[in-house]
Amino acid sequence: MKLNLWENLVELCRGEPKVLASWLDDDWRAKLLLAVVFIVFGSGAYGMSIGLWRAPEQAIYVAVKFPLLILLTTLGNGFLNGMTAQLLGAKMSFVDSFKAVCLSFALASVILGALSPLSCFLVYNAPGIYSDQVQKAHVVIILSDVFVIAFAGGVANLRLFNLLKHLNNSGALAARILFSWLAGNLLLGGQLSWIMRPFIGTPSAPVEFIRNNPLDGNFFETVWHLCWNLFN
Amino acid sequence: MKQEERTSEKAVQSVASVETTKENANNGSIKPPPIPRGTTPTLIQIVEALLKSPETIISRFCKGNFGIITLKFLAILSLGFIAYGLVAGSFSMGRQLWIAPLKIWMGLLATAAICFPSFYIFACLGEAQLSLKQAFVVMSASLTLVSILLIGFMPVALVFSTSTNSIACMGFFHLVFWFISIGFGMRFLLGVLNQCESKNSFYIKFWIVIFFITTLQMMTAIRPIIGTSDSIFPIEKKFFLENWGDALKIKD
Repeated sequence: MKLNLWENLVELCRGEPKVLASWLDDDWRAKLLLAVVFIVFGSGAYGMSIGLWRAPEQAIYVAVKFPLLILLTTLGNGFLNGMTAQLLGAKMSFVDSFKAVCLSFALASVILGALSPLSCFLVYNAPGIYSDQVQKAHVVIILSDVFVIAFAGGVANLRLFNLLKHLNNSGALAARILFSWLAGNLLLGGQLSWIMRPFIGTPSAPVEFIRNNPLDGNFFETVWHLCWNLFN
Repeated sequence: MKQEERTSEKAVQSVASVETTKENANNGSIKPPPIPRGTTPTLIQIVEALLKSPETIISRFCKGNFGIITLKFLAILSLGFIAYGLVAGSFSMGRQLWIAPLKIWMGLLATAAICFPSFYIFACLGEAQLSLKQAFVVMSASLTLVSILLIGFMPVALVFSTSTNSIACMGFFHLVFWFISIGFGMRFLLGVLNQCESKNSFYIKFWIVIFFITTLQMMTAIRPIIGTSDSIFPIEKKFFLENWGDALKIKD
Protein backbone atom coordinates (compact mmCIF):
# COMPACT_ATOMS: atom_id res chain seq x y z
CA MET A 1 0.00 0.00 0.00
CA LYS A 2 1.86 3.05 -1.26
CA LEU A 3 0.32 6.44 -0.69
CA ASN A 4 1.37 9.68 -2.29
CA LEU A 5 -0.44 12.34 -0.31
CA TRP A 6 0.32 15.22 -2.64
CA GLU A 7 -0.52 13.39 -5.87
CA ASN A 8 -3.82 12.22 -4.40
CA LEU A 9 -4.65 15.66 -3.05
CA VAL A 10 -4.24 17.14 -6.53
CA GLU A 11 -6.34 14.33 -8.07
CA LEU A 12 -9.08 14.91 -5.50
CA CYS A 13 -9.13 18.65 -6.19
CA ARG A 14 -9.23 18.23 -9.97
CA GLY A 15 -12.15 15.90 -9.35
CA GLU A 16 -12.32 14.20 -12.74
CA PRO A 17 -15.18 11.71 -12.33
CA LYS A 18 -13.25 8.89 -14.04
CA VAL A 19 -10.30 9.33 -11.70
CA LEU A 20 -12.50 9.60 -8.63
CA ALA A 21 -14.46 6.53 -9.73
CA SER A 22 -11.17 4.60 -9.79
CA TRP A 23 -10.70 5.65 -6.16
CA LEU A 24 -13.74 3.55 -5.33
CA ASP A 25 -12.23 0.46 -6.96
CA ASP A 26 -8.44 0.45 -6.87
CA ASP A 27 -6.89 0.02 -3.50
CA TRP A 28 -9.92 1.69 -1.90
CA ARG A 29 -8.81 1.06 1.69
CA ALA A 30 -5.74 3.21 1.12
CA LYS A 31 -7.84 5.91 -0.54
CA LEU A 32 -10.32 5.84 2.33
CA LEU A 33 -7.45 6.28 4.76
CA LEU A 34 -6.27 9.24 2.70
CA ALA A 35 -9.75 10.76 2.77
CA VAL A 36 -9.75 10.47 6.58
CA VAL A 37 -6.29 12.11 6.72
CA PHE A 38 -7.53 15.01 4.57
CA ILE A 39 -10.63 15.39 6.76
CA VAL A 40 -8.60 15.37 9.98
CA PHE A 41 -5.96 17.86 8.82
CA GLY A 42 -8.06 20.07 6.53
CA SER A 43 -11.09 20.58 8.73
CA GLY A 44 -8.86 20.48 11.84
CA ALA A 45 -6.84 23.44 10.54
CA TYR A 46 -9.99 25.36 9.71
CA GLY A 47 -11.55 24.48 13.08
CA MET A 48 -8.45 25.79 14.82
CA SER A 49 -8.67 29.07 12.94
CA ILE A 50 -12.30 29.69 13.93
CA GLY A 51 -11.78 28.78 17.57
CA LEU A 52 -8.81 31.12 17.82
CA TRP A 53 -11.04 34.18 18.14
CA ARG A 54 -12.47 33.08 21.51
CA ALA A 55 -9.31 31.64 23.10
CA PRO A 56 -6.29 29.44 22.25
CA GLU A 57 -7.86 26.52 24.20
CA GLN A 58 -11.02 26.91 22.12
CA ALA A 59 -8.85 26.66 18.97
CA ILE A 60 -7.50 23.29 20.14
CA TYR A 61 -10.98 22.05 21.09
CA VAL A 62 -12.47 22.99 17.71
CA ALA A 63 -9.47 21.52 15.87
CA VAL A 64 -10.49 18.20 17.44
CA LYS A 65 -14.28 18.63 17.27
CA PHE A 66 -14.65 19.77 13.67
CA PRO A 67 -13.07 16.66 12.06
CA LEU A 68 -14.89 14.52 14.64
CA LEU A 69 -18.22 16.08 13.61
CA ILE A 70 -17.56 15.26 9.95
CA LEU A 71 -16.39 11.72 10.64
CA LEU A 72 -19.31 10.97 12.98
CA THR A 73 -21.82 12.34 10.45
CA THR A 74 -20.28 10.18 7.70
CA LEU A 75 -20.23 7.08 9.89
CA GLY A 76 -23.66 7.67 11.40
CA ASN A 77 -25.30 8.11 8.03
CA GLY A 78 -23.27 5.43 6.23
CA PHE A 79 -26.04 2.84 6.40
CA LEU A 80 -28.84 5.31 5.63
CA ASN A 81 -26.95 6.79 2.66
CA GLY A 82 -26.19 3.34 1.21
CA MET A 83 -29.80 2.28 1.67
CA THR A 84 -31.35 5.37 0.06
CA ALA A 85 -28.93 5.11 -2.87
CA GLN A 86 -30.02 1.55 -3.53
CA LEU A 87 -33.71 2.34 -3.01
CA LEU A 88 -33.42 5.11 -5.59
CA GLY A 89 -31.89 2.66 -8.08
CA ALA A 90 -28.19 3.50 -7.89
CA LYS A 91 -25.66 1.04 -9.25
CA MET A 92 -23.62 1.35 -6.09
CA SER A 93 -22.98 -0.85 -3.09
CA PHE A 94 -23.22 0.32 0.54
CA VAL A 95 -19.43 0.59 0.69
CA ASP A 96 -19.30 2.62 -2.54
CA SER A 97 -21.85 5.08 -1.13
CA PHE A 98 -19.84 5.43 2.05
CA LYS A 99 -16.60 5.99 0.12
CA ALA A 100 -18.23 8.56 -2.18
CA VAL A 101 -19.54 10.57 0.79
CA CYS A 102 -16.08 10.34 2.42
CA LEU A 103 -14.45 11.70 -0.75
CA SER A 104 -16.89 14.58 -0.82
CA PHE A 105 -16.17 15.49 2.82
CA ALA A 106 -12.44 15.09 2.17
CA LEU A 107 -12.59 17.62 -0.69
CA ALA A 108 -14.59 20.06 1.43
CA SER A 109 -11.98 19.65 4.18
CA VAL A 110 -9.09 20.29 1.77
CA ILE A 111 -10.77 23.52 0.61
CA LEU A 112 -11.40 24.54 4.22
CA GLY A 113 -7.77 23.75 5.08
CA ALA A 114 -6.54 25.89 2.18
CA LEU A 115 -8.70 28.77 3.40
CA SER A 116 -7.62 28.44 7.04
CA PRO A 117 -4.72 30.99 6.77
CA LEU A 118 -7.28 33.50 5.48
CA SER A 119 -9.66 32.58 8.28
CA CYS A 120 -6.83 33.16 10.80
CA PHE A 121 -6.22 36.55 9.21
CA LEU A 122 -9.90 37.44 9.55
CA VAL A 123 -9.88 36.44 13.22
CA TYR A 124 -6.71 38.48 13.76
CA ASN A 125 -8.45 41.53 12.31
CA ALA A 126 -11.70 41.09 14.21
CA PRO A 127 -12.16 43.11 17.42
CA GLY A 128 -11.32 40.92 20.42
CA ILE A 129 -13.76 39.49 22.96
CA TYR A 130 -13.03 42.31 25.45
CA SER A 131 -13.70 45.00 22.87
CA ASP A 132 -16.86 47.18 22.75
CA GLN A 133 -17.53 45.77 19.31
CA VAL A 134 -17.49 42.14 20.38
CA GLN A 135 -21.04 41.44 19.16
CA LYS A 136 -20.29 42.82 15.71
CA ALA A 137 -17.08 40.77 15.50
CA HIS A 138 -18.98 37.65 16.57
CA VAL A 139 -21.58 38.15 13.83
CA VAL A 140 -18.90 38.82 11.18
CA ILE A 141 -17.05 35.64 12.15
CA ILE A 142 -20.23 33.55 12.15
CA LEU A 143 -21.32 34.89 8.75
CA SER A 144 -17.89 34.42 7.17
CA ASP A 145 -17.72 30.85 8.50
CA VAL A 146 -21.19 30.09 7.16
CA PHE A 147 -20.13 31.48 3.78
CA VAL A 148 -16.81 29.58 3.65
CA ILE A 149 -18.32 26.29 4.80
CA ALA A 150 -21.21 26.70 2.35
CA PHE A 151 -18.72 27.35 -0.47
CA ALA A 152 -16.55 24.34 0.41
CA GLY A 153 -19.63 22.14 0.82
CA GLY A 154 -21.13 23.42 -2.42
CA VAL A 155 -17.98 22.64 -4.44
CA ALA A 156 -17.63 19.22 -2.81
CA ASN A 157 -21.27 18.35 -3.53
CA LEU A 158 -20.95 19.50 -7.11
CA ARG A 159 -18.04 17.10 -7.53
CA LEU A 160 -20.02 14.38 -5.76
CA PHE A 161 -22.89 14.99 -8.18
CA ASN A 162 -20.52 14.59 -11.16
CA LEU A 163 -19.15 11.36 -9.67
CA LEU A 164 -22.65 9.98 -9.05
CA LYS A 165 -23.67 10.96 -12.57
CA HIS A 166 -20.63 9.16 -13.98
CA LEU A 167 -21.27 6.04 -11.89
CA ASN A 168 -25.01 5.84 -12.63
CA ASN A 169 -25.11 7.28 -16.16
CA SER A 170 -28.02 9.51 -15.17
CA GLY A 171 -28.08 13.13 -14.04
CA ALA A 172 -31.62 12.88 -12.63
CA LEU A 173 -30.78 9.82 -10.55
CA ALA A 174 -27.55 11.45 -9.34
CA ALA A 175 -29.53 14.54 -8.26
CA ARG A 176 -32.06 12.41 -6.36
CA ILE A 177 -29.34 10.45 -4.56
CA LEU A 178 -27.39 13.59 -3.72
CA PHE A 179 -30.51 15.31 -2.38
CA SER A 180 -31.37 12.36 -0.15
CA TRP A 181 -27.79 12.21 1.17
CA LEU A 182 -27.74 15.95 1.82
CA ALA A 183 -31.04 15.75 3.71
CA GLY A 184 -29.74 12.90 5.88
CA ASN A 185 -26.40 14.61 6.53
CA LEU A 186 -28.13 17.88 7.42
CA LEU A 187 -30.39 16.11 9.88
CA LEU A 188 -27.64 14.21 11.70
CA GLY A 189 -24.85 16.77 11.16
CA GLY A 190 -27.04 19.64 12.41
CA GLN A 191 -27.91 17.84 15.64
CA LEU A 192 -24.34 16.58 16.21
CA SER A 193 -23.04 20.12 15.79
CA TRP A 194 -25.60 21.24 18.39
CA ILE A 195 -24.43 18.57 20.84
CA MET A 196 -20.75 19.35 20.22
CA ARG A 197 -21.18 23.12 20.61
CA PRO A 198 -19.46 25.58 21.13
CA PHE A 199 -17.40 26.01 17.94
CA ILE A 200 -16.74 29.72 17.59
CA GLY A 201 -17.64 30.29 21.22
CA THR A 202 -20.12 32.78 22.66
CA PRO A 203 -18.05 35.64 24.14
CA SER A 204 -20.00 35.66 27.42
CA ALA A 205 -19.87 31.88 27.92
CA PRO A 206 -16.86 30.03 29.34
CA VAL A 207 -14.36 28.20 27.14
CA GLU A 208 -15.17 24.49 27.26
CA PHE A 209 -14.94 21.38 25.10
CA ILE A 210 -18.70 20.83 25.17
CA ARG A 211 -21.38 22.65 27.16
CA ASN A 212 -22.52 21.29 30.52
CA ASN A 213 -25.93 20.56 29.02
CA PRO A 214 -25.03 19.18 25.56
CA LEU A 215 -28.23 17.20 25.12
CA ASP A 216 -30.63 20.02 26.06
CA GLY A 217 -32.68 21.15 23.09
CA ASN A 218 -31.92 20.48 19.47
CA PHE A 219 -30.54 22.27 16.46
CA PHE A 220 -33.78 22.54 14.52
CA GLU A 221 -35.83 23.70 17.54
CA THR A 222 -33.29 26.49 18.10
CA VAL A 223 -33.40 27.53 14.44
CA TRP A 224 -37.21 27.52 14.63
CA HIS A 225 -37.22 29.71 17.77
CA LEU A 226 -34.72 32.12 16.21
CA CYS A 227 -36.92 32.48 13.11
CA TRP A 228 -40.04 32.87 15.26
CA ASN A 229 -38.42 35.61 17.35
CA LEU A 230 -37.20 37.36 14.23
CA PHE A 231 -40.66 37.65 12.68
CA ASN A 232 -42.74 38.25 15.87
CA MET B 1 6.50 13.91 -6.98
CA LYS B 2 6.03 11.94 -10.20
CA GLN B 3 2.63 13.54 -10.64
CA GLU B 4 4.20 16.95 -10.17
CA GLU B 5 6.78 16.21 -12.85
CA ARG B 6 4.06 14.94 -15.18
CA THR B 7 1.94 18.06 -14.68
CA SER B 8 5.04 20.25 -15.16
CA GLU B 9 5.78 18.57 -18.47
CA LYS B 10 2.15 18.84 -19.57
CA ALA B 11 1.98 22.51 -18.65
CA VAL B 12 5.25 23.25 -20.41
CA GLN B 13 4.06 21.45 -23.53
CA SER B 14 0.69 23.23 -23.56
CA VAL B 15 2.18 26.64 -22.91
CA ALA B 16 4.93 26.07 -25.48
CA SER B 17 2.40 25.05 -28.15
CA VAL B 18 0.33 28.20 -27.55
CA GLU B 19 3.51 30.22 -27.60
CA THR B 20 4.55 28.83 -30.98
CA THR B 21 1.08 29.46 -32.42
CA LYS B 22 1.11 33.01 -31.12
CA GLU B 23 4.60 33.64 -32.42
CA ASN B 24 3.51 32.48 -35.85
CA ALA B 25 0.25 34.42 -35.77
CA ASN B 26 1.71 37.72 -34.52
CA ASN B 27 4.65 38.10 -36.82
CA GLY B 28 3.86 41.75 -37.40
CA SER B 29 3.34 42.76 -33.76
CA ILE B 30 5.96 44.31 -31.51
CA LYS B 31 7.58 41.63 -29.40
CA PRO B 32 10.31 41.74 -26.81
CA PRO B 33 13.73 40.47 -27.87
CA PRO B 34 13.69 36.69 -27.53
CA ILE B 35 15.14 35.23 -24.38
CA PRO B 36 17.61 32.57 -25.46
CA ARG B 37 16.55 29.14 -24.26
CA GLY B 38 18.67 27.65 -21.52
CA THR B 39 19.91 31.04 -20.31
CA THR B 40 18.61 32.96 -17.35
CA PRO B 41 16.86 36.18 -18.40
CA THR B 42 18.06 39.50 -17.05
CA LEU B 43 15.82 41.76 -14.97
CA ILE B 44 15.12 44.01 -17.96
CA GLN B 45 14.24 41.02 -20.14
CA ILE B 46 11.82 39.79 -17.47
CA VAL B 47 10.14 43.22 -17.23
CA GLU B 48 9.81 43.51 -21.01
CA ALA B 49 8.50 40.00 -21.39
CA LEU B 50 5.93 40.48 -18.61
CA LEU B 51 4.64 43.67 -20.20
CA LYS B 52 4.72 42.76 -23.88
CA SER B 53 4.28 39.04 -24.03
CA PRO B 54 3.30 37.71 -20.61
CA GLU B 55 1.70 34.55 -21.97
CA THR B 56 4.98 33.28 -23.39
CA ILE B 57 7.14 33.91 -20.39
CA ILE B 58 6.11 31.04 -18.16
CA SER B 59 7.05 28.35 -20.68
CA ARG B 60 10.60 29.70 -20.76
CA PHE B 61 10.71 29.83 -17.01
CA CYS B 62 9.43 26.32 -16.66
CA LYS B 63 12.51 25.12 -18.49
CA GLY B 64 14.94 27.42 -16.73
CA ASN B 65 16.23 27.64 -13.23
CA PHE B 66 13.26 28.10 -10.90
CA GLY B 67 15.32 29.38 -8.01
CA ILE B 68 17.14 32.16 -9.84
CA ILE B 69 14.10 33.25 -11.82
CA THR B 70 11.86 33.35 -8.75
CA LEU B 71 14.53 35.35 -6.93
CA LYS B 72 14.58 37.81 -9.82
CA PHE B 73 10.80 38.11 -9.68
CA LEU B 74 11.00 38.73 -5.95
CA ALA B 75 13.73 41.34 -6.50
CA ILE B 76 11.64 43.24 -9.07
CA LEU B 77 8.44 43.09 -7.05
CA SER B 78 10.24 44.14 -3.87
CA LEU B 79 11.78 47.08 -5.71
CA GLY B 80 8.38 48.07 -7.12
CA PHE B 81 6.50 47.83 -3.84
CA ILE B 82 9.22 49.65 -1.88
CA ALA B 83 9.43 52.42 -4.49
CA TYR B 84 5.65 52.86 -4.52
CA GLY B 85 5.65 52.80 -0.72
CA LEU B 86 8.10 55.68 -0.75
CA VAL B 87 5.62 57.70 -2.81
CA ALA B 88 2.76 56.73 -0.48
CA GLY B 89 4.86 57.80 2.50
CA SER B 90 5.71 61.12 0.87
CA PHE B 91 2.18 62.34 1.73
CA SER B 92 3.06 62.64 5.41
CA MET B 93 6.87 62.71 5.03
CA GLY B 94 8.95 62.25 8.21
CA ARG B 95 9.26 58.69 9.43
CA GLN B 96 6.47 57.55 7.08
CA LEU B 97 9.10 57.72 4.34
CA TRP B 98 10.66 54.52 5.63
CA ILE B 99 7.67 53.01 7.45
CA ALA B 100 5.27 53.10 4.46
CA PRO B 101 7.60 51.26 1.99
CA LEU B 102 8.42 48.64 4.60
CA LYS B 103 4.75 48.13 5.48
CA ILE B 104 3.61 47.87 1.85
CA TRP B 105 6.39 45.44 0.98
CA MET B 106 5.90 43.21 4.02
CA GLY B 107 2.11 43.46 3.89
CA LEU B 108 1.85 42.37 0.27
CA LEU B 109 4.31 39.50 0.73
CA ALA B 110 2.34 38.37 3.79
CA THR B 111 -0.91 38.57 1.79
CA ALA B 112 0.64 36.48 -0.98
CA ALA B 113 1.82 33.93 1.57
CA ILE B 114 -1.56 33.49 3.26
CA CYS B 115 -3.39 33.37 -0.08
CA PHE B 116 -1.00 30.93 -1.78
CA PRO B 117 -2.48 27.67 -0.37
CA SER B 118 -5.97 28.63 -1.56
CA PHE B 119 -4.54 29.79 -4.91
CA TYR B 120 -3.06 26.37 -5.58
CA ILE B 121 -6.13 24.45 -4.41
CA PHE B 122 -8.47 26.71 -6.42
CA ALA B 123 -6.25 26.30 -9.51
CA CYS B 124 -6.55 22.53 -9.06
CA LEU B 125 -10.34 22.82 -8.62
CA GLY B 126 -10.35 24.55 -12.01
CA GLU B 127 -8.45 21.49 -13.32
CA ALA B 128 -5.32 23.47 -14.25
CA GLN B 129 -2.27 21.31 -14.97
CA LEU B 130 0.03 23.19 -12.67
CA SER B 131 2.65 21.96 -10.23
CA LEU B 132 3.21 23.63 -6.88
CA LYS B 133 6.50 25.14 -8.08
CA GLN B 134 4.85 26.51 -11.21
CA ALA B 135 2.01 27.92 -9.14
CA PHE B 136 4.60 29.76 -7.05
CA VAL B 137 6.33 31.15 -10.16
CA VAL B 138 2.99 32.18 -11.71
CA MET B 139 1.90 34.00 -8.57
CA SER B 140 5.31 35.70 -8.23
CA ALA B 141 5.18 36.72 -11.89
CA SER B 142 1.68 38.21 -11.56
CA LEU B 143 2.71 40.18 -8.47
CA THR B 144 5.83 41.33 -10.32
CA LEU B 145 3.60 42.65 -13.09
CA VAL B 146 1.49 44.44 -10.46
CA SER B 147 4.63 46.05 -9.01
CA ILE B 148 5.85 47.14 -12.46
CA LEU B 149 2.52 48.85 -13.09
CA LEU B 150 2.70 50.52 -9.69
CA ILE B 151 6.11 51.91 -10.68
CA GLY B 152 4.40 53.33 -13.76
CA PHE B 153 1.81 55.05 -11.56
CA MET B 154 4.48 56.49 -9.24
CA PRO B 155 4.86 59.92 -10.92
CA VAL B 156 1.07 60.46 -10.97
CA ALA B 157 0.78 59.35 -7.34
CA LEU B 158 3.65 61.65 -6.40
CA VAL B 159 1.96 64.65 -8.03
CA PHE B 160 -1.27 63.99 -6.13
CA SER B 161 0.63 63.21 -2.94
CA THR B 162 2.35 66.57 -2.94
CA SER B 163 -0.67 68.60 -4.02
CA THR B 164 -3.52 67.28 -1.85
CA ASN B 165 -4.06 67.51 1.90
CA SER B 166 -6.92 65.06 2.20
CA ILE B 167 -6.02 61.55 3.41
CA ALA B 168 -9.36 60.18 2.12
CA CYS B 169 -8.75 61.65 -1.34
CA MET B 170 -5.19 60.35 -1.50
CA GLY B 171 -6.35 56.97 -0.26
CA PHE B 172 -8.93 56.90 -3.04
CA PHE B 173 -6.25 57.57 -5.69
CA HIS B 174 -3.99 54.83 -4.29
CA LEU B 175 -6.96 52.50 -4.33
CA VAL B 176 -7.63 53.28 -8.00
CA PHE B 177 -3.96 52.69 -8.93
CA TRP B 178 -3.95 49.46 -6.92
CA PHE B 179 -7.19 48.31 -8.56
CA ILE B 180 -5.84 48.91 -12.08
CA SER B 181 -2.47 47.27 -11.34
CA ILE B 182 -3.99 44.23 -9.72
CA GLY B 183 -6.47 43.97 -12.60
CA PHE B 184 -3.63 43.56 -15.10
CA GLY B 185 -1.72 41.24 -12.76
CA MET B 186 -4.71 39.00 -12.36
CA ARG B 187 -5.48 39.06 -16.08
CA PHE B 188 -1.99 37.67 -16.59
CA LEU B 189 -2.70 35.02 -13.96
CA LEU B 190 -5.92 33.98 -15.70
CA GLY B 191 -4.12 33.87 -19.06
CA VAL B 192 -1.42 31.56 -17.74
CA LEU B 193 -3.96 29.27 -16.09
CA ASN B 194 -5.93 29.08 -19.35
CA GLN B 195 -2.75 27.91 -21.04
CA CYS B 196 -2.31 25.34 -18.30
CA GLU B 197 -5.53 23.69 -19.50
CA SER B 198 -7.73 25.17 -16.77
CA LYS B 199 -11.27 24.10 -17.66
CA ASN B 200 -13.18 26.26 -15.19
CA SER B 201 -12.04 29.79 -14.41
CA PHE B 202 -14.78 30.40 -11.82
CA TYR B 203 -12.66 29.19 -8.91
CA ILE B 204 -9.65 31.33 -9.74
CA LYS B 205 -11.86 34.38 -10.37
CA PHE B 206 -13.38 33.81 -6.95
CA TRP B 207 -9.87 33.54 -5.51
CA ILE B 208 -8.92 36.84 -7.18
CA VAL B 209 -11.80 38.55 -5.34
CA ILE B 210 -10.60 37.01 -2.05
CA PHE B 211 -7.02 38.09 -2.78
CA PHE B 212 -8.09 41.66 -3.57
CA ILE B 213 -10.16 41.94 -0.38
CA THR B 214 -7.28 40.45 1.64
CA THR B 215 -4.86 43.07 0.30
CA LEU B 216 -7.29 45.81 1.34
CA GLN B 217 -7.69 44.31 4.80
CA MET B 218 -3.92 43.82 5.12
CA MET B 219 -3.33 47.51 4.44
CA THR B 220 -5.91 48.31 7.13
CA ALA B 221 -4.26 45.90 9.56
CA ILE B 222 -0.86 47.60 9.17
CA ARG B 223 -2.16 51.19 8.96
CA PRO B 224 -1.29 54.02 8.92
CA ILE B 225 0.47 54.04 5.56
CA ILE B 226 -0.51 57.42 4.14
CA GLY B 227 -1.24 59.24 7.40
CA THR B 228 0.62 59.26 10.69
CA SER B 229 0.13 57.80 14.13
CA ASP B 230 1.96 57.67 17.48
CA SER B 231 2.40 53.92 17.21
CA ILE B 232 3.80 52.13 14.15
CA PHE B 233 1.01 49.53 14.14
CA PRO B 234 -2.65 50.16 15.07
CA ILE B 235 -3.94 49.36 18.55
CA GLU B 236 -7.59 49.19 17.50
CA LYS B 237 -8.67 46.42 15.14
CA LYS B 238 -10.93 47.41 12.27
CA PHE B 239 -12.31 46.00 9.06
CA PHE B 240 -11.29 47.94 5.97
CA LEU B 241 -14.76 49.33 5.17
CA GLU B 242 -15.05 50.68 8.71
CA ASN B 243 -11.60 52.25 8.38
CA TRP B 244 -12.57 53.93 5.11
CA GLY B 245 -15.75 55.26 6.76
CA ASP B 246 -13.68 56.72 9.59
CA ALA B 247 -11.24 58.27 7.09
CA LEU B 248 -14.15 59.99 5.34
CA LYS B 249 -15.43 61.34 8.67
CA ILE B 250 -12.00 62.84 9.39
CA LYS B 251 -12.27 64.65 6.09
CA ASP B 252 -15.69 66.07 6.96
